[in-house]
Amino acid sequence: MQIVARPSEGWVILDLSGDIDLAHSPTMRKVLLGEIKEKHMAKVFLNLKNVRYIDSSGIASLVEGLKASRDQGSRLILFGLSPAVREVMQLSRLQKIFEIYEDEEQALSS
Amino acid sequence: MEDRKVKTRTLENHEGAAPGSPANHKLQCNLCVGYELSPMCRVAQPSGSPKCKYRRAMRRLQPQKLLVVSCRGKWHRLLAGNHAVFPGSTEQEVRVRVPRKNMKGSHKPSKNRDRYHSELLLRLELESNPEALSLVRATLERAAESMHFPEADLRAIVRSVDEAVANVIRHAYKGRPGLPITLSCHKLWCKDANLMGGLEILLEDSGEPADPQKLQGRPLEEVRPGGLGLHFMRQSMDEVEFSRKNDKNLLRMVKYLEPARPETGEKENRPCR
Repeated sequence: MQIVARPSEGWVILDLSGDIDLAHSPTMRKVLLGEIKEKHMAKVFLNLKNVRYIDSSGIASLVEGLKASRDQGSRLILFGLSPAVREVMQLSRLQKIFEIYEDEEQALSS
Repeated sequence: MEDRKVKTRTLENHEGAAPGSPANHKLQCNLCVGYELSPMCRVAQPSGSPKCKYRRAMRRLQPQKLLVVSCRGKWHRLLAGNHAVFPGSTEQEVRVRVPRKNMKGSHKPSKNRDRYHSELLLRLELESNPEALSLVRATLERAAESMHFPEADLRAIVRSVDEAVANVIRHAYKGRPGLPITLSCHKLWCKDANLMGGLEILLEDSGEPADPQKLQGRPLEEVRPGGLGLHFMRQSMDEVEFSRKNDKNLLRMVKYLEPARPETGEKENRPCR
């Protein structure tokens, strides 16, 4: 899994690619929580367009990120979910808990 | 399924507080195994009659526990690890809905293993390293593709196996690397018609025995990290069975092939009818 950060003033876009599973979710968690808690980004956008697979550990990391963002008064926004990722979000019944947008343009204009 | 009037009883408070009291907003019933119900919930009990459809539904869904509960005007069908809400009826009636996949009639493969014979498709001997998960997923994807599972079922199989192996690594082996896990996949063939019935996955490890309480899953209404792997497995596969034998944990999962449409399929790929 690769993570590329595109920071801007007060917000950051994290471009994720590959699989978010037990092997890689700790890395995503660390980066995500770093942006929220240490860098105090007001908005963190997660680009999941190139994420092929996510498992329950990846979902758990996203939930941790969401809780941290709410504690910090910031926003965690997801966009570009593939059908496989969307399916997992629906199985977890989290599709209405997270802010999810179709693409980067919609997410940034939110 | 037709509605039938069955006896209902008010859920008894197993926690000690009086029902209806302000503090008694969370009850833990030994039937619902970890689910918390409000004092308004009522547990539907089967009548003594052998014709009682609730009893028949219970038998059909064995060995999973079935609990039908009325809560705030909606009926909840609770299975171990699953929670489905369906349109309710009045408190005087019980609407029992058997899960759709269990109602497909004669073409639904029976859970009776004697109806099938199995053929080993592949066996993987791996170690408890998270890096191995991507290889497991790729292998299972190919195996399920070779059996012509539809896309959604293919993802379900891959997801379930990934979660199962991850659980072994995290819980049975407590994150320790390099310990043995055996994964085998069998094609299931219907004995009567020699048609392919499904895919059986067996996972074996020598780790800590599973805690039965933790095998029940958790309510999804709680938004918190963790506890979803088991839910994914149970939602994705047709059968999920945990057992322990000779100091080894055994997990058996089965995904049945759906009946092929009349215009498709070669004979050997048509599932059991």
